[in-house]
Amino acid sequence: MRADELKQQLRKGEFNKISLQNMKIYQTLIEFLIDEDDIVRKNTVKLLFRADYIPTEEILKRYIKEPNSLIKDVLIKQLPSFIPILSKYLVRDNSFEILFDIFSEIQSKTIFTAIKKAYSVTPILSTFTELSLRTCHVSFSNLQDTFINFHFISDQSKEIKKILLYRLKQANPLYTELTLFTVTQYPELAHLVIKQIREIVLKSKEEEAIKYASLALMHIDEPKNSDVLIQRLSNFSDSTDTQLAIIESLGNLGNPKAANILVEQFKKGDPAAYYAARSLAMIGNTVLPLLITALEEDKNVPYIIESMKRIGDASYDFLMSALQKGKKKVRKNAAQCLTLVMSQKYGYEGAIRLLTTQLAGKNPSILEAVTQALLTLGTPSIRVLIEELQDDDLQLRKNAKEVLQYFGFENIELALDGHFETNLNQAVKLGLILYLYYPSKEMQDLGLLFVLSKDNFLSKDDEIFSLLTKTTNEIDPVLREKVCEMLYYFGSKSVPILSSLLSDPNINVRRKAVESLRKIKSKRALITLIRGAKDNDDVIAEISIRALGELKDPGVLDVIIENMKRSKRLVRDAAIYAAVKIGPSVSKKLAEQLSSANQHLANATISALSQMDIKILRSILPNLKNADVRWFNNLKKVIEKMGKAASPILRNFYLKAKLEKTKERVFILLSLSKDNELVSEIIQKITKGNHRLGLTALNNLGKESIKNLVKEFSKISDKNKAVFIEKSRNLKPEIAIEFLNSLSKNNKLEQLTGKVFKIHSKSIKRYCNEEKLNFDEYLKKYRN
Amino acid sequence: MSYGKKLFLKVILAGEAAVGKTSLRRSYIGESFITNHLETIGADFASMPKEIKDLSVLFQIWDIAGQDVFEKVRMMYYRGSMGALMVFDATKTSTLKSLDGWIKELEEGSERGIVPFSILGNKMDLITKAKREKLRIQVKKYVTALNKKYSSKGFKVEYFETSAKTGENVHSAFENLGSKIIDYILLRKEKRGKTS
Repeated sequence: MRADELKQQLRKGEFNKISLQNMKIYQTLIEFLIDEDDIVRKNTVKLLFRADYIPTEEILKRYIKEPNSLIKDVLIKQLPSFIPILSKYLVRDNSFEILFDIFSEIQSKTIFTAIKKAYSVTPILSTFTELSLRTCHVSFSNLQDTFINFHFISDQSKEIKKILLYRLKQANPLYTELTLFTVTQYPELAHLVIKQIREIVLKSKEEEAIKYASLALMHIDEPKNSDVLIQRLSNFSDSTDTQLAIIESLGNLGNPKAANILVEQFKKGDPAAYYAARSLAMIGNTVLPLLITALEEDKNVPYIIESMKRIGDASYDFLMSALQKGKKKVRKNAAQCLTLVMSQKYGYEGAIRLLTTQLAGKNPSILEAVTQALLTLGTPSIRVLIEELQDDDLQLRKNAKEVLQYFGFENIELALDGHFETNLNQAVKLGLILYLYYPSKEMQDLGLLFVLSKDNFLSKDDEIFSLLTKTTNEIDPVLREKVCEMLYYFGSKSVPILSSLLSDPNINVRRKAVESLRKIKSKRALITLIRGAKDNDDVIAEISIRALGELKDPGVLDVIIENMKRSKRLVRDAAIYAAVKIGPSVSKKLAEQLSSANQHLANATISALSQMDIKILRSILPNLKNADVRWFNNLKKVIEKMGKAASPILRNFYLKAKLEKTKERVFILLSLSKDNELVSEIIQKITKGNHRLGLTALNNLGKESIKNLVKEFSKISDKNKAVFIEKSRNLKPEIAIEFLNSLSKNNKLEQLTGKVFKIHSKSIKRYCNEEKLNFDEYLKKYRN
Repeated sequence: MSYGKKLFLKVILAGEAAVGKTSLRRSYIGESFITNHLETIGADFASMPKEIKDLSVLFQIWDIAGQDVFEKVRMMYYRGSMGALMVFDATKTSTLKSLDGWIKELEEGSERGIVPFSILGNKMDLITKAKREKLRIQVKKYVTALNKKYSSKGFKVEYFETSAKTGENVHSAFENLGSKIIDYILLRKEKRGKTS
């Protein structure tokens, strides 16, 4: 078919009459793509691109031979059909630029849509085209969508390598950059052009290329790769971005050879130093010795911390070793590092705690470094140091105390105050430890300031109670003593622990324990206090007994009575105190002890009963009927001590008493209670009845009763007066003198003085001798 | 040991990245001003002995990193701090607005709640007088609100216009904070004395 006939049929749209039998007709049709006639061109495209065979290669060649806008349009519009064959033309010198022009006009997404369409028919060829384009097309290289994958790279490595090598050889540095960028996107590609990439790193002057080449190298773990990166970083002054890429690659390669150059980056400061720190961490534990050496430079410290934080636990041993063996500056920085590195894992205080564990040793250089670090870390260290004061390790305690000394009173107060503001329990706990464990009085007082307020514990948290409980196991008895004092503030909760402390081998601890138990005043402590009351130590017994008394449990009277027999007055006094505290409920049983042959017991009983309420006499007096003499004599002492207050009850009992013996005994008791109303009965007894009883009673009443006696005496008959005088022979001389004096002042009775004096002159004389008084005066005055 | 018996005053320099905290610290401590901003990693530390109100104190100045990336690390550096200088960039008022967050961090991190602090408008050398005037009105309003909020805490928030480059007000801002901290400590002591 001739060309004009073919054109005619194309104009008419008679495609079925056109037979595409040989290449010649295709060549004619390709030429029609640039025909002047629009219809011919349009129908030619229709015809060509609906056939089984599309002469894409021929169309492309025709275009490359002589670029033409009309064919270009066809290429763009029918792009999916051309995709499979494009790759090889994109890596050829004669076609690359011509084709690149076309693609520079097409949007990345449109290109990818075409590739996607072609991919369904020719996946490998289409992917080649994608790779060819990625390595030269700026916006397309950034596209997320892709058909390039590991299998494609591994199966088609030969062809891929050709594409990459071609690109890397191209003069335009942009294509090198995009190729390397693509390699960084698909790291497996790096294997195919590794030599070229290394060359670029070593020799290129293009910053971007070096940057991407460096990043590409980090995916292939070969020593040579680290070598070239190290070489580049050492010998060139690249831009910061490029340096960062090299540093990052070195980190990813993890080759310890890079450690030195990375540490050198610390000198550059941020951001290179920070990237170097990260990369060093990626290399891992092997860099640690180098980092330790680098601690000698103060300004390296933050970066070393950054590296070590990332390396983690392994840093710990190295830092510890540096603390022990490093140079002075290294030691100081190692101590700080240790805290900050470990704070990642254990928190700030956990890390400080870790640092303070180093205080357990005796190496002075370590101690100095740790102390410096703790001082640098400031007041948060104080809390940990105070807590270490109660550590099991005594050396640690000692050294913690010394570091606290460096902080000084004001800083410790400041730290405690901080806790006081926000965490009262913590403040109380720390104050308590300070009080218990810090040896200086000043610091102990400071501690107490945060523990007690107006004699109250500021916090009774379980943790604080546990702390006290734990301290009871301390070897130092002074600590145990202090705990005993503090336990008081926890009330009955402390009774069991204080009770156990009553078995403490140290006497002072036992004393403090029992003192606290006494102050607690809990019935839970009864058994313990009974045990304490039997203690051989008089002080413990004394306090226990007093405590028992204060508990007012009548059941403990036997214990009290036993202690009334003890030889030490201190204990007996305590027993008296206890009996009095318990009071009337035990008086009856206690009064039985008045008949005791044990003088201590009898006296203590007298003392106790005499201090009790007068009403106890109601339960005691009925014993008068059968009680033995000793009992009665001791009761007399009780009444004597009770004095006039006992009179009403005695008198009442006296009036009701029926038995003579009882009456007589009560009469004596009444006189001992100085009941002046008894005077007329006494006169009566002396003149008409039992004059001995009367005289005993008068003697008991004493000279104070004489005024009343004379008054009553004046009322009786002269005969009775004479009887009275006669029977008053056994009157105490001092009373007789008083009687004489009173009579002498009474006009009506004055004449009786001579008679009275006569009766009593011997006893008065004896009395005057004893008392060194002038008997002659009496003799002169009263002898008629 | 070189520390001697001094009262340790841990002071925090806080504020957004690049507001000039490190430069302020260097200006105060005496190192030369470095024009190029350097990122602070986590925190940097410097100490300086001083005599404030007849007391020997050791200023421990902790320069906190402003970048978000350091947020976690940063919190622990607040521990034990007794005061803070909250710094914003006078040329970038958004950094003033973010101070609330920094004050909150201080309150949560110091372990003693809020402690005395001042507001520092830095880089004053880079703005005009008119802008400075306008900014002053804005900051004073903010400072008044802060003083209202912390009225019971025993210190007063103050505003300083500073320039690390010219040294304007740098010393007075630090020393005023020192005095405020001492007053605060004494007040706390007195308060505690009353309750004990």
